[in-house]
Amino acid sequence: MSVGTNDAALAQMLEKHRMSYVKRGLTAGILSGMTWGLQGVLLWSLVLCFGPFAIPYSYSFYAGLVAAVSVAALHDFVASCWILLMDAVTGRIKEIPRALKTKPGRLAVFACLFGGPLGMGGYVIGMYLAGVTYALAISAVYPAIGALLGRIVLKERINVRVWIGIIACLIGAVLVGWAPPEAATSGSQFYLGIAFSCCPAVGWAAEGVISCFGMDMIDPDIAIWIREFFSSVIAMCTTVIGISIFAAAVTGGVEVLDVDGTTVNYALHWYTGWQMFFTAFTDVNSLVWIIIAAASGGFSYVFWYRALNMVGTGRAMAFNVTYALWSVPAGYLANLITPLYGWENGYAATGLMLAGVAIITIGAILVVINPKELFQLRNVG
Amino acid sequence: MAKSILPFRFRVLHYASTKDEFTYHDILKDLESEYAGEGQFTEKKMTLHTDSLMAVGMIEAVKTELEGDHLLITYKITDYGRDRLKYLPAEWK
Repeated sequence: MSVGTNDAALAQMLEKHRMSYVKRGLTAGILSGMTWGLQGVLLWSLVLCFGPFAIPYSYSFYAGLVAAVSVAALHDFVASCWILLMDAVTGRIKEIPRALKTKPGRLAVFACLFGGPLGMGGYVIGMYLAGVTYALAISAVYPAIGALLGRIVLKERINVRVWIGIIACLIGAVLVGWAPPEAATSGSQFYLGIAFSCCPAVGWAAEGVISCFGMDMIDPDIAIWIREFFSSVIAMCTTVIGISIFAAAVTGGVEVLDVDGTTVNYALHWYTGWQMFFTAFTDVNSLVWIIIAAASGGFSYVFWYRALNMVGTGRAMAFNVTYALWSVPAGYLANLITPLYGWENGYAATGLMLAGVAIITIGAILVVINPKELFQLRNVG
Repeated sequence: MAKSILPFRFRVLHYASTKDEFTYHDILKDLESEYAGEGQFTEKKMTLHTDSLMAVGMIEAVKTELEGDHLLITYKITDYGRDRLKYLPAEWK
């Protein structure tokens, strides 16, 4: 850097100024993990337990799968509303059409194909077919892939210590979510689930790098609205309708459910996912909790995109997977809320979870230990 | 035909390519006709864009001086930043 000052005090002030920027980026990264941990617990412990999602999610396999992809699309849509509100309040609404007219802005739409249908869709389907443990373990590799892509595509500077930190974060994330591997299916469906679980590892990593490239020239808070909105629209037209067709075909249009001893014939059509999506707006509890969960999830994405832009893909992704750490206190928070609705959440942290939390913390410290190396993110010029 | 308005951050990069050196004062003065009245057209937001462009290596600090008790940074575009101008819409090239 060629600062033409001979005044040491000024050079120190410039360093302080840059450090303040880096610290804001690191704080955004931590907040992205924190809010994503809360969002996950709210979505799976509360939103899916009400309205159109309750019976499919609690008692069915195929209709439950439709409910999961439908709620993911609903989450992205409501999150996009929150982000739009933030952009409006801060006077940036006009930036959206301007961004969409440029190549970097359109990259955010391209990125959402990787993050939404491929990433989130693959994660939910993988979880159903191969089980939570396998899906989480495979998808948690995404920061390492993202850091590698960032190194190649964006020429980001990542040293050995940061690599160790990133890998520690993903090992910790796997440990926090670990349970004795028990797949929901076997044979070819199980291996299909493993294949789907690879999608988020690639999808989220690619999303981060593509978005990061676009955000060099576009405000991250605008890029993330584009990502969230188009992700929900594309998910509604691809994964939601695709899984509904798949579920209807496999079950012959009716899934027989045992709801606490009562037999229920649950009809499945190509439009069942859409039906769940729109019905959620008419159920007060569903609506209230999706608004709360999407606020947490939407702002998590806002913080993640800011961190991607401010501290680079590898570090932002390492911070994002600390959601596993934050899901522990969030799980206990859900334990306090669910009795108000008449059921016990029953979340309890195990020794393995706490070991995972400790490893994530060490990994995150290794990533941030020398913020000065973030003054120049890339090997350019 | 009038040029369409660029996203603010992209416009700051384009602006950098038209000047040998510049400060945020220059941007606020010269781009007022395009972005005046928008909530984002503030010193705070401008600084965030210039900090971001500097962190990714598209602009660099060439001079620093004190303005009251604040730091005034003078920037210039880098070769890397100039290369990214290829993504501008045709009407801006």
